[in-house]
Amino acid sequence: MSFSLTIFSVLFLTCICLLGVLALRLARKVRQQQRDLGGLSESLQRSRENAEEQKNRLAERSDLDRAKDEFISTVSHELRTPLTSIRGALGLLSSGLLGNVNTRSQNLLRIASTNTERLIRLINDILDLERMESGRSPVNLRRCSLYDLAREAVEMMSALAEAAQIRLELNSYAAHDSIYFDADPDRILQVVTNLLSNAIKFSPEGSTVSVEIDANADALSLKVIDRGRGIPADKLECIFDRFQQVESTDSSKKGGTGLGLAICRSIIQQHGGLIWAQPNENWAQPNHGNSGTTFCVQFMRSVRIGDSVLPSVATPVVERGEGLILVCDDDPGIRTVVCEQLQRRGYDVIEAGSGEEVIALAHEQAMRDAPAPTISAILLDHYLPGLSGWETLRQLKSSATTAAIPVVILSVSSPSERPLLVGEAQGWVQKPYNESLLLAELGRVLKSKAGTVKDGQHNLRSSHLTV
Amino acid sequence: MRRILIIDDEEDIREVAALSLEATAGWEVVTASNGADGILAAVNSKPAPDAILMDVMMPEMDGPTTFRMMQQNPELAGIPVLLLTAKVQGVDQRRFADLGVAAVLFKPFNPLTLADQICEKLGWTD
Repeated sequence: MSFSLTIFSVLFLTCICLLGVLALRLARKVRQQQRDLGGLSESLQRSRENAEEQKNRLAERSDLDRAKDEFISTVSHELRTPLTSIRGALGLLSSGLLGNVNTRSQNLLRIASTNTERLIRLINDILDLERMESGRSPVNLRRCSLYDLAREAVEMMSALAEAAQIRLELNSYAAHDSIYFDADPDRILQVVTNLLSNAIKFSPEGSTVSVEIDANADALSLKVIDRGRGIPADKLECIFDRFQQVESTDSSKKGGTGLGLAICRSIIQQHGGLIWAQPNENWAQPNHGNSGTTFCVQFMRSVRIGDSVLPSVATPVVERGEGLILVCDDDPGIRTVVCEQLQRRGYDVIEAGSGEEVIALAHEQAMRDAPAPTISAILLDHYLPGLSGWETLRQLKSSATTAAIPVVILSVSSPSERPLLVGEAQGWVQKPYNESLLLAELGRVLKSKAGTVKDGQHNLRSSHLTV
Repeated sequence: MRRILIIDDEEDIREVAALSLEATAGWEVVTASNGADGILAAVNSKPAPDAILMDVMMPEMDGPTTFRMMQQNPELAGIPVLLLTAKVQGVDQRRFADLGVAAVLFKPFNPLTLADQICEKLGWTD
């Protein structure tokens, strides 16, 4: 009896112990879960705060943009008002309509008048460039003939050419029905007249400026060829930057604003095209002295098949994006904004905060099994702590796994501020950047990766984007 | 002879524009320095002006408001109004065009061709 009692009490005690252990475990588990839940809500809270922060940052950015726009618009208006009186007074005085003035006074009036006109052009150009780069000047695409636009530009500039004793000629090597493309005709006209005006300004008297049109299945091209003094090799790129001229006295001597080519570049980039300058090829008259310069503009065809004379519905320049983009910037704020913009456009994104991370992610993604998406392009900041942007780029390009991934450099500096190394980055966007141009440049790089750009050298030379 | 009413709060611009139209086209010019005076000048002008050239940004009553008031006055509603503005941005241009004015001209205007521009916009052949 006492034996069974002992056994019972032992069993009972064991049960109690087991229950105790169980209760303890349960309590620990509950505590753990409570901790987990706490952590979860904390991380939820954190991600909510992050989202809030992102939203605030985007809102701040658009507030800043708006303030800048308003400021520029006001400054432009305030400058125009006194200029109206000055232009009016000088114009009437120097016209002689109000009576004759002596030759010396006439000369002074001419100087004042010419410079007033220059100041007005400068204000117009600044405003124009600012509007384009802030995305407030969207292109109105229509089906146009590149030949017709070039002919119109040549006609518009014929008076100027005649006055400078320059002959203008227009040649087309393209089949008649291959020169149609989607473009904003006013904007393209602006580019061609600008290039022609430059060519006329810098050409010797009695020479010829030619416009050449060509087209193939992938692209349309327009060249403006002058027989001027030529552009030194180290200036071929930077002349597209604002206020960059070959000679510092050019703007006063030639009456330019120093913004013409920057505007041309912005317009061409809005069209997803390329623009660059190069020395003339095979210049037939070596004794002529001046080699001259060719300005080339290239438009990728947005519609490759069925290009016909019939007007078609214009496609937006920045099409809906597709693909996985790796965005690398050490500044989380910039990363957030860039990713937000890319996602809105339809891209998938992954983020990296350093060059090391980029290399690791690019390899990791490439090694994954087939259904996993491969990286379509990398947006890479130039200045990175640790592994620099350049070193990251070099490593990406020297590894067989990652060499084919196109890289777009996102940098505060202009592409002309560094020596060009062939085979490096496929694109360039200058910070502070503009959303539509970033998307256009990325679209262009992805498209050319798909094999539409044949002229690799020119592609590289002019693929940068300064915004 | 054409008679033009210029409404602008900037005295210098009024003077230059008036001189420009008188000297290049031989038109007669009447001026006013604000919207309210402009309406009075238009009503009191005998004969009525052939066209009104009006600034957009003016204190108290701006160009568009003045234009709308003129449209409600049967005596003035038939007179073509051209806005002369230093606001050259696309959005502003569209906003002005929507008002129903005859044309929008921009500052700084060319004093030698201002009259030609007005003729062209209004289809005047003189």
